[in-house]
Amino acid sequence: MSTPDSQPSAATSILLLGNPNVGKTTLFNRLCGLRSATANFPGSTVEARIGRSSQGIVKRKFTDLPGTYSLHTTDDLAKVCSHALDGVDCDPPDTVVVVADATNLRRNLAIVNEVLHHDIRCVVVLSMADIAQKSGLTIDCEKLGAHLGCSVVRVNARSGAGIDALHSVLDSPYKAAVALPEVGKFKEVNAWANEIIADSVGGKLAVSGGTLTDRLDKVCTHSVLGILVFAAVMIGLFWTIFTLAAVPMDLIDSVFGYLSSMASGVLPEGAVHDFVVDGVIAGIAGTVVFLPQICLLFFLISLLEDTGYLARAAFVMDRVLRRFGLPGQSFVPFLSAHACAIPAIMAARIVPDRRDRLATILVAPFFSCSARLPVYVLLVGVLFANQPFFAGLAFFACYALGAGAAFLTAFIMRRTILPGKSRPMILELPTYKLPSLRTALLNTIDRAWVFLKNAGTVILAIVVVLWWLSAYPKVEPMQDESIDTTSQLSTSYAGQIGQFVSPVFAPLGYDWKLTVGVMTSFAAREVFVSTIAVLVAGSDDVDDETIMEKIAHAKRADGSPIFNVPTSASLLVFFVLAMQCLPTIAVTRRETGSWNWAFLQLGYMTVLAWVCAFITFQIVSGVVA
Amino acid sequence: MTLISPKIDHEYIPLSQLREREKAVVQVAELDSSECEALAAMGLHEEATFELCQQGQPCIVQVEATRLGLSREVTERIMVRRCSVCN
Repeated sequence: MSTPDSQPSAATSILLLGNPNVGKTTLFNRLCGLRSATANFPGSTVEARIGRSSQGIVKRKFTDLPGTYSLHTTDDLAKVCSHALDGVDCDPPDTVVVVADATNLRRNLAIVNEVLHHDIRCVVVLSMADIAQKSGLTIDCEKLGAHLGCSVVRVNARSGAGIDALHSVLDSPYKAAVALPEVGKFKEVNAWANEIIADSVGGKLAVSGGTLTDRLDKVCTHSVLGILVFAAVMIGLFWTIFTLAAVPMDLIDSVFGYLSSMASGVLPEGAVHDFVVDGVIAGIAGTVVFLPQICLLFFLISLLEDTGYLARAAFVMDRVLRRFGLPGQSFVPFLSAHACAIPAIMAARIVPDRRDRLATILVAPFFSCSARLPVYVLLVGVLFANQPFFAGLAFFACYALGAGAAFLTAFIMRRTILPGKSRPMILELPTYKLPSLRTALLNTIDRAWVFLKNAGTVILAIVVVLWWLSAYPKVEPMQDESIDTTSQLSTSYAGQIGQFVSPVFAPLGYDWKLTVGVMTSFAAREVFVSTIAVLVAGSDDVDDETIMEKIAHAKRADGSPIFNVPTSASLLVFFVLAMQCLPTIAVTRRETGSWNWAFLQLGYMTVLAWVCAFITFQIVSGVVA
Repeated sequence: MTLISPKIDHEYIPLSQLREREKAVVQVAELDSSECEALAAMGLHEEATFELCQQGQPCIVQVEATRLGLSREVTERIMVRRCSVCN
């Protein structure tokens, strides 16, 4: 422990701690900008962001931990923050920066007190000081620091005001011995905080009701109006995502198309050419093409979260979700699941209760992700060609079927393997405010990188393996030296496996080609479209209208159409309900800490998809006949 | 600053029976220990004073500058005493 008189060394490894919604991440982004990465805290699924900052010759590492109200509660976050402070399973920090909301000092002093009980140098950063000042509060940082035995700095992370002062105190942080109340004794802690506030704060701290926040809450959490606001926000969100994402998605598609043709022109025909063009480039393109939708979703969610609306939306959804044994917080992962199940499962960390969290993780992949979209487009196009109204209705039905299956599954799980009611909601409702574009952008970049790293690499590896399975063994060229693509696929390892497994899918109306398509899509759903295009049309250019027509009119060995109405409907149901994404299984295993949950999810969803697709095939066959 | 002694009712009532804009003091929360811990860490511990902003689902209370949303199941199990003058 050092004192102000003992020439302390500069802080180089710093932990950022504080309550949720105090502007900790905004401060982290201001300090580190893009020089940061998200990593799991050792031994846990709790994410910490690690960033670096240079100030003159001093290089500093900042670790931004998730917000917590206390270091001594029994939840995972508190344990991780406490371990990080003590250097358990990680390098111990040399300094801790506690971010405290200046407008809510009494509560924030409780966690400052907890940190001060640890043997580590401390700096208290007062955030929201501008708001405190506007509401008539005056805080004497020197007096406050004298009471706490550490430096106190006022920082406005949005404007950057006070950042230099923070770096300056980080050059010589200290911790002086002061009398502290016992942690957990609320009366003592309150008395201590009151004494400090009385001496160093002028004005009235408490915020009374009757504010704009009150009036907005009356609308946003109202039993009827709240649902209308929620519906309007969600429709706006998805409309924006699907409208705006189309442009960069087309651009990415074109860039990879160009790369593919360039590689084709440069590389001579052969194994290397096929590997690069059909394996690597096609594999990367298949993943990266969904990035705009995922980025937009995270950007908009980050903006919404910053406004304070998401906490209210969680209460609106709580009324619906609780009937199925899920808490209101689950709605945020379910929202993310419409882009991709992987970030959705990771977002389930915000659900505090373990059983609630498991139920959320297990049902999240039922929600229609963007990877299902190309399959929906193909099958709905085949089913309702030139009937836009019915095509739109079928799209809506797919989304509704996925959501219905998720809720029904949660309902069953909470009465069987995960018994019990969902934990009642206790949530801080942050004040409504204008969102920070900078924070949203940095969060989006961070999330996009995590997605590309976690999913892209895995999907790429799987697609390359699938390409190899469908490309080998090679068939002999015909007399004109050309290779029949259909023969190549039927004799390939993938084709052989498909023909071997086809009896399993025959009751659903699928022939061996569709079986291969379904099998390959267990790696990633979007692979189905290109597989089918290659198998039934001899080309993977699905943008070409003639290819779509060829797919629609493709025949089986007996001359009947492959995509008849019952088969197409059955396929659509199968793709809505089946778990066909290996990276999702890997993420489920990581987040639940067990392969058992991951295999249960895979097995349950696959069996449910098969049974429902079978029922659909039988019913539609009966109706059509 | 002049401190006014709060007038606190002797009668305990569930938080769910409080009227909007009424102030009260938390007496006891008959909840799981994890829920009690969460509430206490957010500032709603025994003897904490708060103001009820909105009754219903969610019930919204203001503890100092902290605004908390609580589901009805929680508010039915938090016993409070009305406080006519609370600072």
